[in-house]
Amino acid sequence: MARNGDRDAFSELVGRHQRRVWMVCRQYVGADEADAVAQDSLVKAYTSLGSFDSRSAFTTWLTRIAINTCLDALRRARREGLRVIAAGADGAVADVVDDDIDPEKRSIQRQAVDRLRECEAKLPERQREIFRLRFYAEMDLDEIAAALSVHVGTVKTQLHRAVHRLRRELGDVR
Amino acid sequence: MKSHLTSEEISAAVAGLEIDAPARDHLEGCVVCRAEAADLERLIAIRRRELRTEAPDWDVQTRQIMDRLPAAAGKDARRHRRWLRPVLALAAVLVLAVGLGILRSGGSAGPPAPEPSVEDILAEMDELLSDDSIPGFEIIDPWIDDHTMDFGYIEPTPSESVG
Repeated sequence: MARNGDRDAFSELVGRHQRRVWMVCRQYVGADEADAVAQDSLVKAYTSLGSFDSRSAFTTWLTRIAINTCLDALRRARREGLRVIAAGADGAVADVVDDDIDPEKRSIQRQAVDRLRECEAKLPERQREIFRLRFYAEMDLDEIAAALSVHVGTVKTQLHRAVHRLRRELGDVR
Repeated sequence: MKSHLTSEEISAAVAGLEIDAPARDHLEGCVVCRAEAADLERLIAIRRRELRTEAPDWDVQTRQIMDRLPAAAGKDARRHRRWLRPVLALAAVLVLAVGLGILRSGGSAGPPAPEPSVEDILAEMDELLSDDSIPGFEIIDPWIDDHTMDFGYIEPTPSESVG
């Protein structure tokens, strides 16, 4: 129905997919821009619904639009000489460490999460991208492969390397 | 019974990748290996919760998106396309019909011009061939022209050499 221009049906689609789209955008463009770019992605999806051929999953198609919109936004920002904030390294971080542990462990956990962010930012670009799509956008391996147009074997290899490297670097702060 | 998992196997388990059956069985029963895998999983879960706290108000976002939807891209555009195609087809048929009509009538709307006779054409050709001058290179002084053709250079005219 949304493909026939039914705005109510599209509104329902937005409600179903906006969290995923925002989380994907958050990984690429950072907290400040994520909402705007997520909105751009969903508007773009609406105008391109005619080109969705149902051979791929709608979520994958939409995620691909979101990723492309993020990359366009990053390119535009670079071209215009704007400062591109490294996604994941910006802004204040909400304190959401486990409540059911004592203050000392809480502090250690806080440090460990901060260290995770730092180590994540140092991962090679592809590894970081795949790691974030897998764990934060909660995409499965096939979805990531389809969204990035790479073989699923590549996704597995890069993800394994990313996790292994993070475990090695976080070894002393866990 | 398999001994503790290698670091690589634990990383594979954290990544959600396949590990072989003995390794999987060991992981299920070994507290040490499970704890090692859970360390990073816990940090990732916390980080994911942090990221979610940054999320916008979803209802507001939905409203803003719906306000931005271009009217032409959805239903209206499809309606537009629905009548556009027959109109274009009709226009094409009309153009074809007019074109065929012009061709049948000899390529012009007025009466056909009388064709010139062969003699007239030959006479016109003769006239054109007899005029071998090149526009812009007309002879100014016939004496200079003749002399140049005969001797390859220009001598002063008799009147000039006297002086």
